[in-house]
Amino acid sequence: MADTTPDISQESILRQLTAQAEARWGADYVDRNRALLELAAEYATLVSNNLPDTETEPGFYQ
Amino acid sequence: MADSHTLSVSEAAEQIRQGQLSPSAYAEALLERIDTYEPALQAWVTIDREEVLDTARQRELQLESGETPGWLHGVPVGLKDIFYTAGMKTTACSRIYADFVPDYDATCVARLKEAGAVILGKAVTTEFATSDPSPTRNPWNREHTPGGSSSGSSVAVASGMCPAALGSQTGGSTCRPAAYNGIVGLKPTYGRISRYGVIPVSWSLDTVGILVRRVTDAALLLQAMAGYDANDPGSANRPVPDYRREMDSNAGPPRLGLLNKGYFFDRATPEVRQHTEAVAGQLAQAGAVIEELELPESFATAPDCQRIIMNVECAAFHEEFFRHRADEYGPRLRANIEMGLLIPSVTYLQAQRLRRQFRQDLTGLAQRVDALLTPATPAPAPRDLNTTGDAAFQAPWTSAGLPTVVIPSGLSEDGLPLGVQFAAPPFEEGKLLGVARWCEGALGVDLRPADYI
Repeated sequence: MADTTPDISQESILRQLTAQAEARWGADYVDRNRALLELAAEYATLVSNNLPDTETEPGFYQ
Repeated sequence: MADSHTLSVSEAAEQIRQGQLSPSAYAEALLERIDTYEPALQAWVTIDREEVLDTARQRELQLESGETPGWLHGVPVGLKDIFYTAGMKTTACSRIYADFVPDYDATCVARLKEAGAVILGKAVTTEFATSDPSPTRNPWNREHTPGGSSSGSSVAVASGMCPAALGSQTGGSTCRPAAYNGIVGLKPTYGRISRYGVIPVSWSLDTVGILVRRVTDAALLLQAMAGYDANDPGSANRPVPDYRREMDSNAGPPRLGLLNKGYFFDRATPEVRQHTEAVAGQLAQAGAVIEELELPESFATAPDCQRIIMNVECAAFHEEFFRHRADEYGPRLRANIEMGLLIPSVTYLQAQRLRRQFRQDLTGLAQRVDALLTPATPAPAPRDLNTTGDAAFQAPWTSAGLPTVVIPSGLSEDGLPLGVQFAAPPFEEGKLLGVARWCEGALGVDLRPADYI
């Protein structure tokens, strides 16, 4: 997993994910998996734009 | 033993205790049934016939020697092929684990055995309990998906190959195939049943599921398996109630919160919406109080949070195998792992924080009534063997960790099972099952696929 930047637009998240994917698996992968990257960017953007109350801890389990 | 395949768990256990049903003859009858229907349905990965019959004979001897029988004495139970079984392959229907033979039983498997169950075999799962479809066929119509990921377990129960089977649920993998196959599915509260010795998809979501034909049977299996296990970091250290007693104390007409606005009804087909309204009307006529409730705002992000968490944790589990053997994974699982590897760490943590808020909101909603009521699935099992169907109606509850139960409630115009789903606050399985049993009785629906009666 990588770190996020302060910019939370879907386009910027998609650019970051695309760059990571290209570094990991190459440009061909990015060409073949555009839809997957766009979906991941959509999920990440929705979360980034709906942050919880400041004091909410993750609470992984119970 | 001509009709022993139609027995529920509680009926079979009672007949065995009374000496009216021999565990060996029962096991043999089910093995014969598997021989007959397995070629068409492909529900099983591994069955050790000799081991099954040896265990069944042991159960007979235990009864003859006056040993106190357990809850499930002599009752055959199938296991999704992600549950560790000592000395028996546990493949997760994957190439990666194709030759894996555990040297111990999963805690829940050991507890089933302690309760007297006979492990019938390992049932087909989608690869690593994710979303690449399995070869298993739906006994209601072989052209329609049986759902997943607990496809073999659900089909085995629906077709009378066994009275009960274990599944698991990370998104919708127990209650969705239960609905598609016309049987009862229980997803307990997160942490209620140990996952020690269960191949994971996503540690903070995975829940052991129960697939049976009657609500009471779900309580029996839950009673046998529930309880703290120090070997599972997610295991809840809370007392286990007497579920049948709790069911009995919730035996009257319930107060139900019908979620007929927004998420569930927006996604359901008109047929499913009408069916669910009709079910609610029938339950109201029988004495239930129906209250229309609205979902909390936090519901909007819950499905995406669930996918983020599932994919990241799935990627963490598979990362080492995936570095060297990515080509051995199915395309959907591969995509999930790749997405998980790319999701930023802060996004994962924010999703977990949102999930906690969501859990609190949903628990508060569930506490307003005896149980919440939704359709079980957006539509009946799709006519498409390249999908396991839509988990949208299960994933939010899995994410929140709340217990849910699905019961069959009728047939679609195409003759496929329809179901309804109930949810309750965490650790309220006794009340939830009591409500579901009352509704099961009020609806009077007992579905059996015509070709497998």
